[in-house]
Amino acid sequence: MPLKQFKRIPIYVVEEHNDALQFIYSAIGGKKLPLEGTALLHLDAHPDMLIDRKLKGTEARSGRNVLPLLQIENWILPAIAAGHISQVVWLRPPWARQFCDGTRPIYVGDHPTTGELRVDSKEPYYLSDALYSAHLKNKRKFIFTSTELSDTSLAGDEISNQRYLENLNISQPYVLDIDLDFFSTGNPFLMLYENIKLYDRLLPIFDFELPDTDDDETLAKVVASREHQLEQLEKLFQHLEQDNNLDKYEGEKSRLYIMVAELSEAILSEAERLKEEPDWWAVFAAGCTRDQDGLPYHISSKEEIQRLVKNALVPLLKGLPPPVLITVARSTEDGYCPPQQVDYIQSLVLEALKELYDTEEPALHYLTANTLK
Amino acid sequence: MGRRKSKRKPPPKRKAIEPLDQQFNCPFCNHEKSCEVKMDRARNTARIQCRVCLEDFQTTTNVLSEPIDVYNDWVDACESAN
Repeated sequence: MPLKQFKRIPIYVVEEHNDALQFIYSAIGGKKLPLEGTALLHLDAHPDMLIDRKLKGTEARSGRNVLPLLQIENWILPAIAAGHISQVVWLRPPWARQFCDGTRPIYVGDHPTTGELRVDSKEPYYLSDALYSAHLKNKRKFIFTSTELSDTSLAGDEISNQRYLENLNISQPYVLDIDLDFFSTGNPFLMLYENIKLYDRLLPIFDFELPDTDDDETLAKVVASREHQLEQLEKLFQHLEQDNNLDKYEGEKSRLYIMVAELSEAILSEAERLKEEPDWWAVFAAGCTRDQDGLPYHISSKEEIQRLVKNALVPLLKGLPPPVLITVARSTEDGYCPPQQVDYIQSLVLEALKELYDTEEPALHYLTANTLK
Repeated sequence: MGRRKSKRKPPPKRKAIEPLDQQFNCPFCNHEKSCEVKMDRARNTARIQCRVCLEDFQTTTNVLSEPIDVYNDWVDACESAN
């Protein structure tokens, strides 16, 4: 079926990054993008390539029904599992290193026993969230590229710039997707109960050690043990949300239980000192970011932001064919794009896009979205 | 390096997914919201009809097509016919 074309390139600006997917899905439904095989050019300080461990493959393949099930960290893989996206190029700022640079094929599909969505990638990003499975059903292959984009990546001679762009292997049709935290990156959890050094104290509780070998048997054990650890922690924090303490906790009284119980007392006293209710969900979410080295953090100066737009974003897009549509995520209410900088970054980025392409007036979805807070 | 998580607990039902229109103005008789779409998901087709002037149109769809896409196909077909 021949694709239709937008008269002008639409730009959708959303607050939470997962809200971008509805516009990509609408473009597919409207025959502006193919049902299968779209590429995603993703500029972000975070890959957003996780999977909700409870998400079933059938849910991922349920069309728009999957949209309300997605979160900021896990909105891309379900679209790949459904076949709509087959290539992701993650362009990362120099301070984000969640994946090694390079291009590799990855399969995503259903765990043969549970039906939950999993990948066959043995990279730490997936192992640390217990998302690896050696065997998959209904699997889909996608090509994943991770590459640094700095203000000097495209400052070389014509040949080296050309080589950089060719290595991305981006061709039409593709979606250009920009998270404004690419230009300046906060870590919302650093300040959480800072007085009791919460972020550091979470590390031994949520810690994950990579295995020395990557044979299937070892990895199956590692994944099972990590899954158990994360499930236990989730239960403990759910209990804390209900009771504010673990006195009546009936689950396993493991080493983790003791560690969380100790930590919860420190948090309770700190919350009392601050005259607020403890935010157990935020503590758990902070812990989940604490495997390996923590989240990227780099508050850019105004000059750095300007250089990244002028010397990285603009020459990158000038060297590529135009996208079918553009999605932009602010990610500021979560604290990933600094609130005092987000409007400035957004204005620079939108200005650059309007100069580069024949675009529609940006649709500011974040102003009208009725997001529950 | 760690994995991003939302600091805020996800609400029980998120409302940031934009609801899509179900009824449309007729491109023939111009009646407002007089056109309704019937999606045949199994056959990947859909039909839109105006209940006032009974003009109708059928088109192919995919798993992500919504009534608005069927209506847009109709409007595009009218434009190219003109």
